[in-house]
Amino acid sequence: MPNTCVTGHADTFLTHLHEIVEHILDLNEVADPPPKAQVYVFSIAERAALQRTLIELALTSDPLDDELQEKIRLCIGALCEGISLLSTSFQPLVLSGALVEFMGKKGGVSNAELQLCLRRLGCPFRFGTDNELRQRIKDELDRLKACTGRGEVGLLPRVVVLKSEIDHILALPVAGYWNLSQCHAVLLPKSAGKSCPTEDEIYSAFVSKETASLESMLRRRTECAFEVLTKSRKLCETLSGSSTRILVNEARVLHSEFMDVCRQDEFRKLFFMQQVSSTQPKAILIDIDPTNSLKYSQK
Amino acid sequence: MIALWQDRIEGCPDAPRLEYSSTSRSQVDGYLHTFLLSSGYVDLPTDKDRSFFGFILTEDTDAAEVPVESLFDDLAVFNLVFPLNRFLRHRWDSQVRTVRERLFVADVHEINVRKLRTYVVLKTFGDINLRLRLGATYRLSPRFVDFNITKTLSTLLEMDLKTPNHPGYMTMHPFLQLFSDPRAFARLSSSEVERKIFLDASAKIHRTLKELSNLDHEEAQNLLLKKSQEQCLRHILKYRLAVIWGPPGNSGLYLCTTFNLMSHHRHGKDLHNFFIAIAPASSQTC
Repeated sequence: MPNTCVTGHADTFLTHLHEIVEHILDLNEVADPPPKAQVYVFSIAERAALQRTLIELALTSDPLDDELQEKIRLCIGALCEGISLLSTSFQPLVLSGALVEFMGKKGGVSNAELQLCLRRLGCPFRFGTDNELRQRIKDELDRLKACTGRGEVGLLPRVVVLKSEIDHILALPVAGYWNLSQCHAVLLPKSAGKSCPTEDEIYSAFVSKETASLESMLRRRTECAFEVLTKSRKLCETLSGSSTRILVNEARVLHSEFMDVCRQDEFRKLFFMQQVSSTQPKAILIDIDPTNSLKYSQK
Repeated sequence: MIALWQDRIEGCPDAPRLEYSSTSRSQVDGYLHTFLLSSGYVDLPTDKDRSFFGFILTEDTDAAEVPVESLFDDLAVFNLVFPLNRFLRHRWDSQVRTVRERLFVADVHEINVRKLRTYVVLKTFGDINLRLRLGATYRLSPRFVDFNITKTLSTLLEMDLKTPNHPGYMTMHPFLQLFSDPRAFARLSSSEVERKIFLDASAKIHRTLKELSNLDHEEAQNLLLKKSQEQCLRHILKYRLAVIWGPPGNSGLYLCTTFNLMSHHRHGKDLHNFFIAIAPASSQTC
């Protein structure tokens, strides 16, 4: 598939992003084996900006516009994670549902409640004895685990920050702090294409509102990031030697799963927060955006 | 858990290194392995009655390969009591083969200091064929243990399932009312008439008990309510939320159970009673 680069204004961001994510998710159903995907951004600030943009879209959009809400839900489910999602009404799956296995267990749960659980998970719920319903719940949880599954070293974030990973793996001969243009110049010195535009050039184009040159520079910047990524992977493979592998993980299949078992907003948020805060206690300190403080919506 | 991963990927550089020296067997505790602490430090867990087996132990080799700890799946065993019985053994078997071949789950049993050297005594759990090597160095690192999270999540789910689809103000779950409208709890609860019925009934029971206790019936004496307890009971009946405290042994538990029985008898299942107790025994009894 040829490399396609999409650029545009902030207004069309969601539509473009949704198209790409939906395309990949459709391929999951059709292709065998399903394609693996990983999202990269260059710097931590860009990842924060992506998350913030999606959350702002979720908060400011019209709740009655079903199509728009569906697009936002798909994008958030595929790319966002962390406590800052609590301000929206979207709380996606945490850790492939590993913490909710109690749903299939025997206990004081009545038949009616099992049926309600199944209905919320999107499974057939009308017929079956207690044991059959429980088995259906277990099967659904297993399916979620399989499609979102781990089996990797470390917990990969949904969106990987290229700069920190390159920092970890490669030592670049650049003095002090480096950004994309310097990294690109070092890793691909004889690149046939143009060099990567520097941050200053992009900023001056933005300030003087030269949209055409700004778009072409941003497009070139994205292409450079991709070239840097492929070059680093190649370097890791060739330099590590035969005995050890530096890059140990394979990408996962992209998924956008939610497990909306709680209907009440407050319960759903508490459910989500309990899972996130017990596995990532420091996330509470880091991810809360000061403008979108934790507020339970009052109805 | 995320914090654990950062360390594990780098091979746990800060983890204490232990050198295996001997094993002893005791009737009560099973096999106890003694290690010499070569670097780092180990803390004795404060609660010695329950051993959570909150560590993983693996051999410290120089081989440049993926550290075994980073392949360990915390979520498969985070809420299980070790050592695993045969019903839960399959959870351990679901771990990656390398993990089963090279990793123990360990618990710090004791720490002794003899002749300026620290000896750490561990209890371990692992694959049947896995053995500790004499003189080898091992790393001890923490694992994710959490027994409460499944209970919390299942309670939240249960509360949500029991809430009707479009609750109006008054039918919002009381737990949520603590967040959304805490002042409502200061209101008077039941009507005057109902309260009178309850108080009359309790006065009648009280009189019977008093007569019995006057006849030196020991159990009846224990069941009599003291003056402060009677006041508490009136308070419970009057207000929606009542906070009652008393030193242990003052029948706070007895008061709660009496009220529970009374309201159940009267209202059937419609009334929600919330009890918050610090000691697990009290909430279990309630």
